[in-house]
Amino acid sequence: MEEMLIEVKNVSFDYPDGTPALQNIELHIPKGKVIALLGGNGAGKSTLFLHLNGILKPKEGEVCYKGEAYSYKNKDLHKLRQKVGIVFQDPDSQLFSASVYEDVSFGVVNLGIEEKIARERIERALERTGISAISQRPTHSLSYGQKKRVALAGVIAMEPEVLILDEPTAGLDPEGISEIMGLIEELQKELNISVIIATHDIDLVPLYCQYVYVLEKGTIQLEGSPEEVFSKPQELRKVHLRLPRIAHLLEILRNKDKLSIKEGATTISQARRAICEMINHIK
Amino acid sequence: MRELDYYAYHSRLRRFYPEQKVIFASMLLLTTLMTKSFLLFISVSVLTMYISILKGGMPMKLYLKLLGLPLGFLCISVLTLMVERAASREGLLLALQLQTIIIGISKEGLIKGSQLFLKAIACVNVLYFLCLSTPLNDILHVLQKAKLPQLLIEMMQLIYRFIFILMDMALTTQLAQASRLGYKDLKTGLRSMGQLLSTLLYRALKMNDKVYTALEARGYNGTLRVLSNEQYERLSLIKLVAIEVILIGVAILENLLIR
Repeated sequence: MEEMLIEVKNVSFDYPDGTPALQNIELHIPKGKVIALLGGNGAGKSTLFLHLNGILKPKEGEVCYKGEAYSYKNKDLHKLRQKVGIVFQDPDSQLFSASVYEDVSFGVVNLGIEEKIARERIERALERTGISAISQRPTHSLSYGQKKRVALAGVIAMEPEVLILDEPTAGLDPEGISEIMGLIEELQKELNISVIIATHDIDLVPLYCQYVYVLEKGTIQLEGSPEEVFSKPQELRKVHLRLPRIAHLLEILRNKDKLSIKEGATTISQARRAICEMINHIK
Repeated sequence: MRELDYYAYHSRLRRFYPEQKVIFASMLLLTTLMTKSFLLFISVSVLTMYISILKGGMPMKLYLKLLGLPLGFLCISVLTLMVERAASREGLLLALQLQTIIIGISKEGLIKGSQLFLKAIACVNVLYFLCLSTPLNDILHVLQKAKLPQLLIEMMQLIYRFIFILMDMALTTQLAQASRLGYKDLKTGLRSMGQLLSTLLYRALKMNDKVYTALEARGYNGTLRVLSNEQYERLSLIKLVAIEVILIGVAILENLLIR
């Protein structure tokens, strides 16, 4: 059985004004996997994230790290936040320092480790995220994509075991998207960490993620491998989501044009294989 | 403001120790403020302009524009200082009589006024030298070494960072208002401006929450401790002292000559 890092057990949470934000959430984050958290705007993704590193405390239920329930004591929270890092959606709200290097150093310094080791970690994080060259520039002169990388570096430098990314691709151009996703994939493989990606960019999910949770109105509506989840188009549409474009095209070819393409293809390469198979079959 | 910051970061003088620059600027400022020598004021202005433009690489045109900023204000205040009410026209270089009241400019007034003018310009030049060679973050390092309260430094650090974000927000919002005719006349303009300011306040407060959460997520525990990687070069101390000595010499010389 795979090792579970975070387990969210039956968690409910209300907004300060009393409206329910999360209801009976069950979520499992195994080690070394990339998990997608799909959901429209206001589905409760960010609220759920803040539960994972103990910034919010559930009204009911509990969150466990390696089988141990969060105690919400200051000392434990401190340790927890090193293990569970969040990269927020808007880099401008995460980067507080005018100096890139100093911003990246913040989390590392808070770990209270020796300066020499801290500096090594900072350098490594700068290198891994490809921003060594801009570490001397002031934060406010960077482009949006560069700021996103700096925000990522600031969390990576703390060497977390679980990396949570809130809309990592929002606001980036196509090149920026594939760059940052490639970077995340590389980091995940190299460090064997767990990654949780909240997104509504559905086309990314089959490419990078091994498991999907679909969140809507504060509850988990669907979960499973990308193939499983995307084989239920009706249910996805009910929660204001859609199939990946490729899967949608194949669905139309199957249902409207009566082509006998096999189900389950969600990426370009899978679709290519399925179509070739179909053609060979006809021949 | 963005320009000032940009040139501070790109100045060729940025690589030198900010402590040295701050001390040098303070010494220049002090000598300028404490003396009454025309020659000194002019030398300080020429010296700092020379350093900022030729050594630092600041474009001359922009520098003069920056220097023009306080000029209007300065002219008005110096003028009001020079013009005085006199009992008679005697001793006045320029006089104006309104019925029984005589106002004008005397020779002493003229000297005092132009002295003040040049002094102020020299001080502005000195401050521009510092601003255009030392980004605020470097100055904060100096303040930290000078043992200023941590709280104050952190506040300055955050303000410095968020000024740019708020400025961008304000500019985008203003553009969005203007493209919907929000500034077509004075009345609408005032109303739009008010709305702009209130949204800005609201957004700043919201931003405050977000920043706090993000800091907490990285283990914030009350102080913003960071590591810096700035590497500086030392300016020649002898040169700095020599410049200062020459300047004081100039002031003394002028004093002797006038006597």
